[in-house]
Amino acid sequence: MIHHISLAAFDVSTTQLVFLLLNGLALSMLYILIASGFAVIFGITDVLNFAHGIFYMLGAYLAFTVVDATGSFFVALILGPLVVAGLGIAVERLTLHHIYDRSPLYHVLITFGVLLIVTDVVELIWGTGTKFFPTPELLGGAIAIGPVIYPRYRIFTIGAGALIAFLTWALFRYSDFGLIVRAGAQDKQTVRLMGVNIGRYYTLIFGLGTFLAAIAGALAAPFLSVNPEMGNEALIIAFVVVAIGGLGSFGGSIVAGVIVGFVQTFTNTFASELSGFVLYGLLFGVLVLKPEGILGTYEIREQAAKLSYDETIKPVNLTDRRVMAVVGLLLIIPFVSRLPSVSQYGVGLIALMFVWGIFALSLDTVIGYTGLISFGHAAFYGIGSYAVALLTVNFTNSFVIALAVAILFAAAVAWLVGAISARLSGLYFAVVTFAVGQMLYQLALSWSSFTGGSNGFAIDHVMLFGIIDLSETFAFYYISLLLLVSLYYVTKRIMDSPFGLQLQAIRESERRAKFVGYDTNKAKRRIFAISGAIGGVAGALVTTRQTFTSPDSLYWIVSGDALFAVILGGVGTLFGPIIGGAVLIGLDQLLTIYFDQWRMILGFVLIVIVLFAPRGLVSFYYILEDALGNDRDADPTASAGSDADSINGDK
Amino acid sequence: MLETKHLTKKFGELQAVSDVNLSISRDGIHSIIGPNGAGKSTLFHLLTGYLKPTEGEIRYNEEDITGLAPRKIVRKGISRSFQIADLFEGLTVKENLQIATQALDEKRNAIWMSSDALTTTLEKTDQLMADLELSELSDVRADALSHGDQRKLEMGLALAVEPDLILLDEPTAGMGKQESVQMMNLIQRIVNDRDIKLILIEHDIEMVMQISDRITVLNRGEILAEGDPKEIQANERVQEAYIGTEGE
Amino acid sequence: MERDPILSVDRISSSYGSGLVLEDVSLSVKEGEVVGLLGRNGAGKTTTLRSITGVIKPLAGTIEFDGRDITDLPDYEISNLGISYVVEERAVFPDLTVEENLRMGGIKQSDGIMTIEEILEWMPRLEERKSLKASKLSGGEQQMLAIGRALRSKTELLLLDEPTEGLAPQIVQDVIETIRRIRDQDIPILLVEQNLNTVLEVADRVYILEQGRNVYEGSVTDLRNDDATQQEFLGVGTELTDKITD
Repeated sequence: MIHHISLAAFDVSTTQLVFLLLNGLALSMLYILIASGFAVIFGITDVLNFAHGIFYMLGAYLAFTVVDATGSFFVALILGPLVVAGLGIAVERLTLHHIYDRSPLYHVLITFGVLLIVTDVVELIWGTGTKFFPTPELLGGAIAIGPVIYPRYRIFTIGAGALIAFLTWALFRYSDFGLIVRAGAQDKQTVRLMGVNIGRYYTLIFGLGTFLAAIAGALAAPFLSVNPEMGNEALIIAFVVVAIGGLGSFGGSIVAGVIVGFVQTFTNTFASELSGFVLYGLLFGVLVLKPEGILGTYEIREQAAKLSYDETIKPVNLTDRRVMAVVGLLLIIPFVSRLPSVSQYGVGLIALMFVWGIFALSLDTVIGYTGLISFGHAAFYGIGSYAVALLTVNFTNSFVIALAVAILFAAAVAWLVGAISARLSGLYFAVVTFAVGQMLYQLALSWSSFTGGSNGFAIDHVMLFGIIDLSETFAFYYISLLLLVSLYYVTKRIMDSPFGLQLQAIRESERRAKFVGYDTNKAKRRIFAISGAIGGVAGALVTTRQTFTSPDSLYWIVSGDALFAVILGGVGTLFGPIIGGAVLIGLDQLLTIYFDQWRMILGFVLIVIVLFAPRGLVSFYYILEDALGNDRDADPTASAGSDADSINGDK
Repeated sequence: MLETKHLTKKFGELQAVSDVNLSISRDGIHSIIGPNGAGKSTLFHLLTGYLKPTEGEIRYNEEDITGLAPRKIVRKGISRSFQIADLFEGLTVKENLQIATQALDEKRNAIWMSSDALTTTLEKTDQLMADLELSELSDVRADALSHGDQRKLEMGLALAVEPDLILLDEPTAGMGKQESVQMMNLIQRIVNDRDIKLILIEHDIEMVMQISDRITVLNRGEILAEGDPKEIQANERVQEAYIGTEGE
Repeated sequence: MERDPILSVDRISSSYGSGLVLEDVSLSVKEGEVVGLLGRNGAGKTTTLRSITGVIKPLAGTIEFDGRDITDLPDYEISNLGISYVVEERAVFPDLTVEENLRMGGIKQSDGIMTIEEILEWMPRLEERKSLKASKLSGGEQQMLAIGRALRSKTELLLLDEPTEGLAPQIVQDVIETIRRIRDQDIPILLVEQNLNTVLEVADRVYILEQGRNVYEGSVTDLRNDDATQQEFLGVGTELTDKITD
């Protein structure tokens, strides 16, 4: 279709076509630059770097400051990226370097923590406003190319982009450094046996990847605006281009960069209403036709580390009595508080904590029990939210009906996501779920007649049985608590079922699960639907409380926060993530009162948890209990562990 | 019982298995031997649906099973073990076997009941643990087992699905002589008790000669020889290519 | 003349997670000597090599190379001291070309015994295929490439793990010939084999492991005439005993 249109345009104007081709080329180069650093890091170290966009943004801001100070764009173009590369190296050395042997989930979370920190640091230094970045004098103005007059800076970008991409390619193809990292990506152990300390090269690769991100940011600064949003835009571009090209394939990211750049340019011109969907549309097409990407291979180099329990750290044992004690306490809290103004706020906050507990619970069924890293759970949360909002505006404000519809839609979409991505595992799975989530976000943004666009829309109060107003704090508190406790027990029962056992089998070894006769793809679709339904409940509740929805509920940061909550609480324990979700949103709401840069603090917390307490808060409790000298035998899980030790010792 | 015709698997240029015609009868133990890289494991992968053949077909009890998914082949009654144990490492011995046994139950996908309510499955699991001499280790995580017990559990996962035909890929790999002999005795006992046809890949020639009723020798993807142990021992091509000239 | 040992392994014990794989294993390799290390599958031969090269760390015991204690050095530093290790699975880099594989051998150690040109001259099959990816080579060619790559790096001791495994008889002869030529350059070799004949053809001395322990040590001549030992530990011989029935 695009081909046809461009030919028609050619008849009208050669000038226009040349202009478009140059624009396409400039955009392609930018995409290639953004994606290649991401691809390099993933291809060699298997780390999906969610901080990539933030390093790109930092490159732009630093270039801005250096230009401000020295007046030289070219100094800025080198100096800024070098500083960012240094930062990347420091991040790798302090964090990732020590946990390469762990599940990739933890790598993702480290980079997510870095993203939270750097975002706030940038805001702290440069503020939130958009910076005007002047086009360097030498490269100002325009020149004539054939029939068109074209901005000189864009020509420069095309040239610089091509040069950097070429140099990176040549570095990998011809240098000893390139040879070592290519060999290392195939077989680390053998590379060490050649006398190479491969760990050092991982650090350098991380530095190179961040350098490329930053130089892309610096180059883009003069013709895009410099603002705090640019990091997220770049991250999504990097993700999509790399997924289309083939995860970890440098060549693939170049091919995909060109395709996406041109398709985007032509769509912007001829079908601008579709321009927001180009990235996702192309990605979706590739995922359906060739899920491993254009130049990707299906070969899995090394089995990624599994996310099974670490035997040495046992989570606390949660008995029904303990649950009842906690629930009993929660039931009376609203009555105990005397000061009406304080209690309103406090009770409302606790209710919100329940909702996030539900959301984290939904993610844990997929990650903790089935071993699938979903990075798109915002989709189900957002669907739940929009389902309630749209239903209330258009049909009825009955909570029961709205909740049922939210569950139904969220489950249906989740089932579809599960069906599309069932063939994939590990990080491919994370990428696909991320993309689906972002696609829905884009849809909510663009389809404004239906969704209210970026501002979202407000709704009426949602009523329970026509009489109880659920936007009212106390009613909402109890309905949320009721749903949380019921969903916890429903989930627990499902995880104890034959189906639940099957899920754990998939987590531990999908191949073996197939070889004993399970239809693992079917099981994945089903657990995704269940998980999506629970996520939908969380989204529905939030909207009921806030009487408002917006695309923010679908944004990928929500997915990141959910992952954070699961790890914070204790993955694979159901109640751990509930605590994690509650604590995360509680911290979030309290810190925001005292600090502007509270996300930064959360970022540090996340990194510390990942590095030093990967089993989360529930393991804290156990460690504490152990330290206080409680009788170990009181805890059945502990005695099972010591049995195992003694039996081993005998052998 | 099991038959292959012109079975071939290529990896790029390499012919891992080429033009293999097997005919395996219901009786006795059939062993497949050959040097490393001879294509033994690839052959198992083809027979159990883990790999799709480039050419040829596989028939089981007269039925064409070529290219079926592993789980469907398991349902036909063929199960296997892996050379490198592939266990549910983070779960206990009991859970491992329970998962495998449960796969036969029609309620295996049930979500609204406790897995411990499948009493037949639990009984079978206990019986299997007893047969494998693993009962005492019931609550030990699979990744904390000794190597020998991991091999036993690996075989247990293959047995749990009640196959008519079981393919064991070097069940004694990494074991000492003594332990290997015990393991092989255990295997023979279980296979006899449960009337299961056994196809075996094994490294230890001496052991193979001792227990097999029929032997197929593979070399570089092709069948080099087939016959009973005596015939194989007497076969000069086998001597030359595999066992090596002896004594000196 | 009694020569100094270049490698002394003194009572090492090693394990992978669960269970001891090696227990008190000792051996030595002297200058210019080819030593065979024999035993059944799972006897601990490969684990011994992995312990020497630092891929796994022994739980007890010491390893000395050239008079220096290397027990606790990381694997890459041990390699840089001059121990070259050709692993059993060949472990050529499948997506690198033959030439790039050879370059990797000398990437940190420019003082290899041979240049790439010399290796390719020596192994003409590889010369013809030097621009092909290693995954396109046959098993025998991959083995030659792995050995060639080891020779590109600094080699004062060569460890070979079952280099003739799975190769056609003709190619086995090529590999044996290669080992002889390396020996003729006075490079000591520790050769792990299941195939007794290969060892009998090229080695000077032999150790046998059984269930992770030393069970035999002697010269090749002694072992050749010792049918009982051959039968007991290696399971070869002219007649099959019925001890399986146990």
